[in-house]
Amino acid sequence: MALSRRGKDRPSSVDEETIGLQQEVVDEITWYMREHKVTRSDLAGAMGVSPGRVSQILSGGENLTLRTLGSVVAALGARFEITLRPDDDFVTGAR
Amino acid sequence: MAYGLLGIVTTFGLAWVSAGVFLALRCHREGRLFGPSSRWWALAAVALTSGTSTIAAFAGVALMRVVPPFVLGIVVPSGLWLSNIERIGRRRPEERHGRIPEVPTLGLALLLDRLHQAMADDRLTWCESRVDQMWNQDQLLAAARYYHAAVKERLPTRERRSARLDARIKAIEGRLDMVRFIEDGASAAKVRAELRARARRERRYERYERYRDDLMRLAALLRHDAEQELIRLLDIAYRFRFYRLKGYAGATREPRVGSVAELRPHP
Repeated sequence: MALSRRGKDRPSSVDEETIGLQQEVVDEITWYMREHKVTRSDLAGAMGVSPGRVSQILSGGENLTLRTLGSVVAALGARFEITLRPDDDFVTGAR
Repeated sequence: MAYGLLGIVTTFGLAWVSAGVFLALRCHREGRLFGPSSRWWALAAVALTSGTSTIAAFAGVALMRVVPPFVLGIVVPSGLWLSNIERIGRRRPEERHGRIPEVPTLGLALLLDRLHQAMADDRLTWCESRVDQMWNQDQLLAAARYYHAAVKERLPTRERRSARLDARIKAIEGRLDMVRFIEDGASAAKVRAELRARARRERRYERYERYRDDLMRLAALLRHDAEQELIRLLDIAYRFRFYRLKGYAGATREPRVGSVAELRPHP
């Protein structure tokens, strides 16, 4: 199966997708923290970083690495679920 | 002797001003350099930079007198290697193992790192202080519209598009609209259908599918995401230095009416 290169024609959509994904990850972390009554200081203590570092992560102003995300998830004692599935508007299949 | 001391003081003073200016340029669009948490890190970074510059300036002049120029020609390019070490030193805190990379940068990398973190802390605290979790849906929506209008009015025209202000207020309105739909007693089937319809227009609504059978948690998650989006809108205000933006005061603090905790969906 070949993939189309339509993504190259829509660079802005790639940027938006990345920003959206990042915001979704941050929203998910903050939602988990709220549900489990975890403060920024609690998370900072569990991660072994300053509360400011946690604020940096939660502001979504930087490109989160998988290692950072892994540290957050491990500190929260949670599990991160990732699902990849075809996007009907994007992948067109064989060419 | 007096001239030497005056020279050192003058060099240090000029280096202090220069370090302050370049640090401000480095932290452009990050917010307040001398905020409540960041001010001491900023002062430490300026002091270390200006102190090191003064020592380096006088050591350089003294060195030029005793060392042949070709030695400097050999030593100076080592900056290429040092800059690489500095890059390693700038790894994110949770990715670091040990503090050895900070030694060649004389701890400056660590100070700058902590400064950026403290600025992020000040920024998030400022944003959160302008969103009251006790607001009901109407108050939250009114506050979002107030902040949106205030930021849009102050933001330079060329920055409005990249700040995605309109997209943010639309996202907030959409989520709070959905909360109201649930709180008005829509059935689970209607909520599911509405979620599917919205997910076709905006992919982020797929995130809410998991709570489609738990309407109370769904409403709480929608409200939470609306608040997060509002904090991101306020983050723009802070980055553009609208520090005096007044908190929304159009609502008196009263318990949330029809809160998600009291939801009783229609059978």
